Amino acid sequence: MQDRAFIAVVDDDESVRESLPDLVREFGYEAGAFSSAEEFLASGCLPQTRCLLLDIAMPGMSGIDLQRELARLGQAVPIVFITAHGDEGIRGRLRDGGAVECLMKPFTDTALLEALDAAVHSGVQSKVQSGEQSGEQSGGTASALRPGTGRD
Amino acid sequence: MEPKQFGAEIQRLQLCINDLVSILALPAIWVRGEPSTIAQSLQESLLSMLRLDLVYLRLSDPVGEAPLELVRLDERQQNPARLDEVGRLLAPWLDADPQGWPARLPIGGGELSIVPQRLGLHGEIGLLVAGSTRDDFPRKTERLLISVMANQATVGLQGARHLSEQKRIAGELDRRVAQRTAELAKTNAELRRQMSERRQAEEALATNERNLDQIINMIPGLVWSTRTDGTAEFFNQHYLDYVGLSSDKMKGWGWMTVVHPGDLPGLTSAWRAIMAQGRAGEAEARLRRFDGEYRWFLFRANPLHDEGGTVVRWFGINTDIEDRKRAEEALRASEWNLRRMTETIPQMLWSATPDGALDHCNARLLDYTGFSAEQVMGNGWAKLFHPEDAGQALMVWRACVTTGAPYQIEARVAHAADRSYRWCLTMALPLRDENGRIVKWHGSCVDMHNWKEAQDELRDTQAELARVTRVMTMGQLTASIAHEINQPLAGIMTNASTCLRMLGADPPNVAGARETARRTIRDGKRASDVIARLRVLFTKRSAATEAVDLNAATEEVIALASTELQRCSVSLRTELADDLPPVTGDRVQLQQVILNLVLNAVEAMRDVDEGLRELLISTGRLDAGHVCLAVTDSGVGFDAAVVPKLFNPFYTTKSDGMGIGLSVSRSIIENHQGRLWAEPNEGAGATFWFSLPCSDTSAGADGSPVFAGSMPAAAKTTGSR
Repeated sequence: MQDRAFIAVVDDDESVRESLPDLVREFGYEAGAFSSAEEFLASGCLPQTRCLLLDIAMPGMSGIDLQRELARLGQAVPIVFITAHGDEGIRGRLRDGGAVECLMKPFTDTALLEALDAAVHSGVQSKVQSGEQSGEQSGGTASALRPGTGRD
Repeated sequence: MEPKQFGAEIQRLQLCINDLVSILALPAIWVRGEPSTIAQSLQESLLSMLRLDLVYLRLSDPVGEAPLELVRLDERQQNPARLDEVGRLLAPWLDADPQGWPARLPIGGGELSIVPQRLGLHGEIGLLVAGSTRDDFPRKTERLLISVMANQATVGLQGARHLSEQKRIAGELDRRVAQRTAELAKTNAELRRQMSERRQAEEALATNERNLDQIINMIPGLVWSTRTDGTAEFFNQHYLDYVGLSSDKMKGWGWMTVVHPGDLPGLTSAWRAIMAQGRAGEAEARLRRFDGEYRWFLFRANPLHDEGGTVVRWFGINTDIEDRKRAEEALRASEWNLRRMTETIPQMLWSATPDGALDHCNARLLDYTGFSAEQVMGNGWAKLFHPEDAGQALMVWRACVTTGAPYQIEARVAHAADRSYRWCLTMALPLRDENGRIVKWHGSCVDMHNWKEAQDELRDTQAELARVTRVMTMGQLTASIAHEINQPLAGIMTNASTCLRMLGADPPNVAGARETARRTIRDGKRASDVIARLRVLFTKRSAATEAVDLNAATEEVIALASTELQRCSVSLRTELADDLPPVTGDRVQLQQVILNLVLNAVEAMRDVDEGLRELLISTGRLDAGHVCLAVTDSGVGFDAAVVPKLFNPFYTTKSDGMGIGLSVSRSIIENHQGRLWAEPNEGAGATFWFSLPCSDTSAGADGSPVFAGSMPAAAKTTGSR
């Protein structure tokens, strides 16, 4: 289990927290679900998180708020935003702001997989660069990093 | 004979003579004695004189009762056994002739010589038996003494018997006299009582007669009586005072002189008819007063019958009806005026009796409908209505006739000119007398066909406007709606993808696939619910009237707008009253108003800091007959001066609004007999209110408002209209 990259799903919608982690696991990742940004920060899962699947509009701390908070904490976790009322304008702005991707609901599993792969890969890149990453996980492609091979 | 023997004989005779003298003296002693005393004395004397062993005496009872039996034995033998023996010895002979008796009877081993002797010539007094065990008994002298004694006893006992009979008769006489005396005394008392009663009755009668005279003269009418031939014999004082004539002048047929000549033939013929029939009757005629003025009177006559039913006299009373007559004439005149007026007024008018039967229609109504008066009178008026409306009209009319409530119904009425039916408003009000009893219904019928068509058209237009406004309102929700639909769609796609992957794995994860497929279906349902909810608000439909739970309707609106509120960072608070009575109306239109107020509030808070965007939705009772809903925001508010303009069409403070939302909302609320108003808050923002009538008045019936939210000053002062 240690081999699998941990993906955190943060969304106030219960059906998303129910369905999305299952699909992520089908891709061969480990997944956990959190109902709010505050819950995620309090969970202590941040260090092991390789990618955040983050809802934008949430009561309390929004997705954007969490992104700012992580930046303030110096935690460069790759973020894939998901939103039900977004448009292309928002998507561009978020990507410019450092997000790996912004997925508009409803999205396809392929789009999700590509975004996750890109995020985990970028995370590896950044962690390799910072010299914190162990040797066995370095030098591989994004698909090589996935222990279980999903069939697209 | 020897001299010694002579001496003894002489001595014996001497004794006998002594005894005889004693015996002959006995009756003097017995005088006034009881028979039993005489019998005992007799027995004593015989026993002592003749040295007897037995003296039996039987006294027959003069009244026929059992005879008295007395037995005396010699003192030496006086014991019960001896008595029984003597009784048995004599018993067979007691009723036999003394001539047939034996001279001796055997007793106790010896013999008893007996001498029976009748008392009275035929033994009617009784029987005397003397007995002795001596051999020489009875000697001649003894026989003589017994015989004399029997005679003396007979005389004595007869005397005693007479005496006793006399006493008995005297006693009986006394008893009868006493009884008769008591009877007489009783009769006497009864007579006195009857006399007293009679006197009282006579006094009462006299008083009654005096009272009757007074009453007859006090009666505020002219009282009279006649013989069976119609000739008058009595007039009360009132009558005589009224006509100013003496009783003599009025008697017989004299009274006819005071009857108005014009009324006399009618009155006399009526009077003859009443007398011929022998039954009570009445007639009207004018009577001349002492001053020469004639006044109308009602003559009433009643026959007095004897036991056989024959009329023996007529009594009558004449009542002054002058004022009533005048009133009747005035009424007739005013009715004629009214009729003439109803025929002139350019309206369809009618009237009905208190029990609901039509009794008058003016010509305009008949011309309009093409029916004749005969066809529609009574209950025939139902024919005037369209067959589909007649039943309802009849039902409402009957209810009004029963309760006295004003009658009002919109129904199609026959229109003769184009052989069609036209919508008419038919109304009626009851006319009541001074006691509140309905004496008449007066009604009208107004052709409102064109007005109603215009009204229907207006209603359709208003409904269409409301719908269009609704669609426009929904436009403001586009982003929220997209989110509402995208959310379940995302779920569907995610779950379906997961499902496919689980099935394609080796080995396939069937349990996981089933679970994700189930979630797919659930999300599909969720999307469909969203669409259904939206569709209700978009669909073109006619206004419906139903019982609406304002709280439930509000919650549905909140569900629809919650995403929008969240998107705009508005925090929502609700204070919905418990036990809110339902209102009657169109649910969708009312929800449209609530949504419109909520979106207006959100819009008003757009320029306020995110943390200060607060929305409060509250419901409650305004007063006994009204519920209300308030939407309070913390937005920019408005100046009190603009309040009158707020609800005008096309008035808007928004750059992108058309300004018809509030105008349409107000027309919707007013169509529900409600009121919509607004006022600035004391702090930031404004509150929009609407109140609606509710059917339930059980709570808050004391007029005190029961409202969950804070009550604005305006609602307190103007809300109860």
